[in-house]
Amino acid sequence: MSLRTRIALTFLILLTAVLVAALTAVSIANRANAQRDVQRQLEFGAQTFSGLLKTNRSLLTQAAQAVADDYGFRAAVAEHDTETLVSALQNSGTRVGAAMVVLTSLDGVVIAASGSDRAVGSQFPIAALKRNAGPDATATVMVDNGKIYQVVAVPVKSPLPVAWIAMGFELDAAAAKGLAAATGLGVTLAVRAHGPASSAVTNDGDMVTRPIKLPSLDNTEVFATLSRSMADARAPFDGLTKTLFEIAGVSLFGFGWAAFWIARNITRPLHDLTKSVDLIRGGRYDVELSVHRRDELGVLAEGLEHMQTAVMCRDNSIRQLAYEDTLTGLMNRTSFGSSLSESLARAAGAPMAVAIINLNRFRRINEHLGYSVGDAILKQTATRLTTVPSIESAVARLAADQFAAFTRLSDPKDLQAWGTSLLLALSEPVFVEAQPIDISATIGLAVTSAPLESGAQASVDGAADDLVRCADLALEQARREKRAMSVYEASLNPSARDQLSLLGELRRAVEKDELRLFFQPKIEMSTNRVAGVEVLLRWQHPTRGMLSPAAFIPFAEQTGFIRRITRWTLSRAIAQAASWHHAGKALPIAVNIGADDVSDSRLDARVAGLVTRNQLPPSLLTLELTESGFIEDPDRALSMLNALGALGVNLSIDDFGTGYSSLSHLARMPAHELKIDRSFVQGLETDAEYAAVVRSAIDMGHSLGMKVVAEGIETELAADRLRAFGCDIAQGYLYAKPMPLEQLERWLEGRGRVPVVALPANFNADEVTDTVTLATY
Amino acid sequence: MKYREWRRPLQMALLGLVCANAATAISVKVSVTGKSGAPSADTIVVFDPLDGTPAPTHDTAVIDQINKTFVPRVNVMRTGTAVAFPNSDRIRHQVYSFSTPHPFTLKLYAGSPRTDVVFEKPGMIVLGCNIHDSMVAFVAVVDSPYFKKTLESGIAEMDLPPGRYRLRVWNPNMIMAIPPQEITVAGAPVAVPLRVDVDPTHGTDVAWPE
Repeated sequence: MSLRTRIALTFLILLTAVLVAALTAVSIANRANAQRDVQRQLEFGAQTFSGLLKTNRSLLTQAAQAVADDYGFRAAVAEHDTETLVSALQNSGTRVGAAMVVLTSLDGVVIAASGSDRAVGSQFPIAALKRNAGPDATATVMVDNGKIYQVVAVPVKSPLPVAWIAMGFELDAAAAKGLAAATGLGVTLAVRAHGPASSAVTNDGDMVTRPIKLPSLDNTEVFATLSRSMADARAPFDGLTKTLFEIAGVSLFGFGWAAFWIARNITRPLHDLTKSVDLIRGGRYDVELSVHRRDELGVLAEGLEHMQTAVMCRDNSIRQLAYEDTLTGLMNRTSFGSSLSESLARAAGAPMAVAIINLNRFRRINEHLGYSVGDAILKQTATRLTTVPSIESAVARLAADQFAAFTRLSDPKDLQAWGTSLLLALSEPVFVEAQPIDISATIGLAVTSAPLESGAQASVDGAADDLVRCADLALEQARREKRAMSVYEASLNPSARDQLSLLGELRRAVEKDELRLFFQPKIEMSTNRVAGVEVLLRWQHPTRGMLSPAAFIPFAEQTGFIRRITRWTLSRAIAQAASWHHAGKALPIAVNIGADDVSDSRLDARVAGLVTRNQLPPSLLTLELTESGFIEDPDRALSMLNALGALGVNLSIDDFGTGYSSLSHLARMPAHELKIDRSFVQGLETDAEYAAVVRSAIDMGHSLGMKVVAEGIETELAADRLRAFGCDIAQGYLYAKPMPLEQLERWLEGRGRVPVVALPANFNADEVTDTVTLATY
Repeated sequence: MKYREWRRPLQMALLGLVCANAATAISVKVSVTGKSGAPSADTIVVFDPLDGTPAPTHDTAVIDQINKTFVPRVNVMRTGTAVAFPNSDRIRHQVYSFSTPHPFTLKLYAGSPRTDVVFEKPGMIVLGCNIHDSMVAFVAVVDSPYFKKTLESGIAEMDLPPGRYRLRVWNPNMIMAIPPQEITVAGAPVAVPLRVDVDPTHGTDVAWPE
């Protein structure tokens, strides 16, 4: 039910209730009033009636008295002159209109009569009448020959009573009519053998009656019944009630209309406001909300309008945050992508170029000159990049020191020129607080070619992403090749396309358990005993056979998927080591972790969990980390390595000699082991300088309290030299290739070791290809 | 007027002479009492001689009209008595009677009418005034010379010659009729105690015993 209906209905129901109550009360009061009125009228009528009878009586009495007093009449009585008497009686009767005049003896024997059928000599009930003689006597009626008479009697005195004169009016229809006219009531006169016992008012349906018993001379009962119609009595009240009902009807109608009007007045603005709010929700902020009212609704509308403004402001700032780089005011990665997509769509096949620009050494600038200087440099870089003339272009800041730009080229050959102009823009030193700071950049370039190399362009979004990724790859290439600028070329990197689809396959590989653990033994050089095994990965690819880590690990590192792979490897390797351990064989294992893994803050917790769950003594686990792993963020890497060391896990520095790590870093590392890169070991036999490096590395490791491992040993000569240098542990094809579990166990048995417990995982040793050179991983 | 003053004592003297002459007169005393023993005044007591009628007389009587009443109200007299109806009031009266023994009317008058009314026939004559209904007087006309009205003491005393008599008693306000009774008067004085219930408010409905 709508608010409007509810408001209106509530008021209507209330009013109806009040009106019904009022009308009922009035109705009841009217009914009672009518009843009372009728009672009063009947009572009054009864009084009037008896008054009329009294008047009649005195009239009759006077007339009769006049006759009785007449001397002549008395003489006639004395002389028994009947004829004279009859005529005298007739005369007096006519004078007052008495229907009956009778002269009787004192005993009631009729002497003469007029207007009555009483025979002379018959008995007249004079005795009863005599009892009612006197001024205060009540009216007396008698029934004579079926007619009702009101009768009085007076004595004839001469001077003692000698006779009686009875005189009476007939109470006929005409008399009743006269009485009715005088009382205003219905009057019925009737003789009843057995009338009502009382003179109570009876209410017979519509008629209210009041019988009056008239004193009768004989046994008959004569009643005068006064009656009044209730309907007549109610008529004036009914008129009043009717008027009230009409007023009630009109007021109900008016009130209902007013209630609906008010309710509508309230709900219509509400409805309008609801519509406006819907518009605002839809993202429109220019909705007219003012309802031009001074009441609560006006205030509400005003509040909504303020809210609209506030929401609009916040929305704008959120948009800004989402799509804009706050420092430089350039686009961020998101808006750059969408902007590029739009431009690609507009370009309609015209060559579009994308450049990814990386500021060199920016981290050092930040570290040494402070973030405010870094920020100033970034701002100026942004300004310079935007001033490079280009067609339909845009510049964005993608990451801390990474910028991007795109432009439409009139010819793909102009790509180099555009790249050079970008480089030139950044070649001049930047002045911060009047201090010149040299900056330089590395740029990766990519351009769309017509037709695009992907053939059918699936979508412009995809194309934009591809273009950015290609530029990114070109940037990587430039960095690797230590060049300022590199252009992406599909032919230079044939596996690039493969790599794009590799991620999905790699994910599937982990899910479907296509990765395999291979183990390469480590040999203690002094005793020729097995010191442990290094765990290496192989990918049992469903179509391409067994793949070496070099085919997928670099890609996994680029995409960040390496963490997932490391997790998988750690859990399997630790489980395997634990099963050996529980079988009574302490065979230490070494697992490789990358720079990306070290930056994972949960690595230590994960390793701790695995070691605890598998009940593996931590000393049986060695984590091998390449030097590059702590080059990017040495402090963070160091704290993670310390945490891992605290677990009791052994740490090993892998591929030592290939990276750029400083010796101070090396000294601070909580490592137990140093692994000299295979490139040094393999150059050992021929290159004296390499030998010197290896020898001093071994010495340095020892002096830092670490064991030194040499990997990639393929000849006895190399082994001899390393042994001579004091190298502790050897690893290489000379001793054993990486091999699957079953093969490892056979190999160990061959060396007089007790077989190890197999993992439940299905290792397929037969498919291992031995052709792959061990990767550095 | 002077005539009336001296005539009545003369008559009484003459009567006494007659009785004295008889020398055999015997005193008869009728005492009438009403309810609760109270004496009943103005009760007419008549002794009708059963042994022969004494010679007629021509008596006179006066019934005055004073203050709209007949005075006396109750009268008893012998047939042949001439009654004067003087009017002592300043208003006029019309004395009449419809009574059978002697109906008459004296036209409206004041003072004394020119003629007396002589009642020749025995019986009860009720007098009225045609103008004033309340004026009523009773005149009992009897043949016997022996009659009396009781005094305030309720006693009527007279001397009767010995013989047999019929005793009649009547009061206009008596409640019940007293039947006439025979009384023999001889030798000694006779005392007749009578009970007559009288109610002054009771209308006159007991007929005069003829």
